[in-house]
Amino acid sequence: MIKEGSVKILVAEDEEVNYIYLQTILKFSKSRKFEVIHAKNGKEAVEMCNEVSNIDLVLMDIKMPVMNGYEATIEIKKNYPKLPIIAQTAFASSTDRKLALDVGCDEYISKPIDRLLLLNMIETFLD
Amino acid sequence: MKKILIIEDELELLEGVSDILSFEGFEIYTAPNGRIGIELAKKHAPDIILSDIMMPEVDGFEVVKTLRQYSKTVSVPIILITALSERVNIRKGMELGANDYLIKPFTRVELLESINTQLEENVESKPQSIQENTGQQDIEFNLSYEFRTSLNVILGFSNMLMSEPENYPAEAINQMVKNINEEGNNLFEIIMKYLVLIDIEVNQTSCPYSELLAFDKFLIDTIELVAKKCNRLDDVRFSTKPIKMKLSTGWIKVVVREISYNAFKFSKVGNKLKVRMNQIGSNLEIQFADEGIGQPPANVEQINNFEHFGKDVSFNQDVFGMLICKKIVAKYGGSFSIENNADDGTTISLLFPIE
Repeated sequence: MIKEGSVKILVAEDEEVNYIYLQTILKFSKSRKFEVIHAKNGKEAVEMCNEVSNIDLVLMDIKMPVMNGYEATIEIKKNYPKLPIIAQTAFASSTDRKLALDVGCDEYISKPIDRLLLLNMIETFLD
Repeated sequence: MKKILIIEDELELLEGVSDILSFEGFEIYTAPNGRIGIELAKKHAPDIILSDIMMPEVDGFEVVKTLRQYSKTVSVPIILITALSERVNIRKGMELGANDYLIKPFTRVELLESINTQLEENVESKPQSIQENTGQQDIEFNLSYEFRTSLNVILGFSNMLMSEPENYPAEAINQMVKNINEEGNNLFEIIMKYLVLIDIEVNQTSCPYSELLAFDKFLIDTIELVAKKCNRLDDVRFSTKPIKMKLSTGWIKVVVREISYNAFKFSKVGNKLKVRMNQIGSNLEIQFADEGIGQPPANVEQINNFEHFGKDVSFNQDVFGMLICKKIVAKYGGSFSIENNADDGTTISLLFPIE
């Protein structure tokens, strides 16, 4: 059963193909209707949060050109402290995880990303 | 009794931490700045060091960097103390060799937990080779990052196709298969790059040479392949002339691929990549000029000064690929330099002797 209403997700990801992967996961989700918007670096992500209304959640890559995900998270949380941000990154150490959470990310998921884990994680921030 | 050295220029904090820890039964040494801290660390060989990052003259980064060079202090756990606003600096501290960090203000419990964790971990006595940054850590870190990024798509899409193929229309399935294939090829190139690096750094193989081949054609083909993958075929401009060279296609391909991939990644659609070939005396110069966002001056300096992966320095991940390229070019008796253009973007110049 697909739940009512659509959920708007901002995906900050510089690698096109990794964006397509996340977009595909969300597009074909059986439980929710997701609307996906794409930022290609941290700066674009910050701008989109300010310009696009009703974003429900951000999937934030960490290593991106122009502005990285740590910096973008700090900026976004200044204006939107309650907007959930999930860090999604190929950095794999426990330090990176701790750092992502310390800059204000609400959750952290490592690449390669497990589809079901990601959908589960997103679900915990909705409703 | 375990010895703890505290390096902190805010004297109130220094005193507070010192009180808590001496009450817990540690033997405490205190230093009001980084310079004295380094001296005390060498003299007393503490079991743990707590150091603030932001201090005048010698800062916490410098403390970590310096202490990691002395055998006496190379493996002492260092916990960095930092203000909330400086959090983005933490990665740098950890890359230089710090073990953990505390964000001010921290509680007594957080402080003790961090210290106990470090004491326990250090008892496990890791082999010396892991504790010293021999360049191996840089390589492992980057390798893990690049493999994971590629496998994200390969494993992700293939799992989706296996678990519920009926959920996706034919068009989506075609897209997934295409992406899996592309990332597979990409991963293969990444593996080649690290194999070359291992050949150079570990096996110390001498560089391979191919048969005499039309080098200009090889250059154009390699760059166009990358451009096509990045959807940037319209943005490449060549100014080359026919030249036959014996450079190995395998190793040089890694270099050409890495440079052009970076040029596209750090520029927008419409920004051009100009590739020029000039013969200068008995050398062939190849220039890659992009119109992208340019490199921070610190990166330019790090690349141009780079000679070896080694103990004393830790490399920014953004420049790591360039360093591998520089290593490869050097093996052929060539040179590699990078500069930011007066307007936009960077120019990378390779110089190879023509035999």
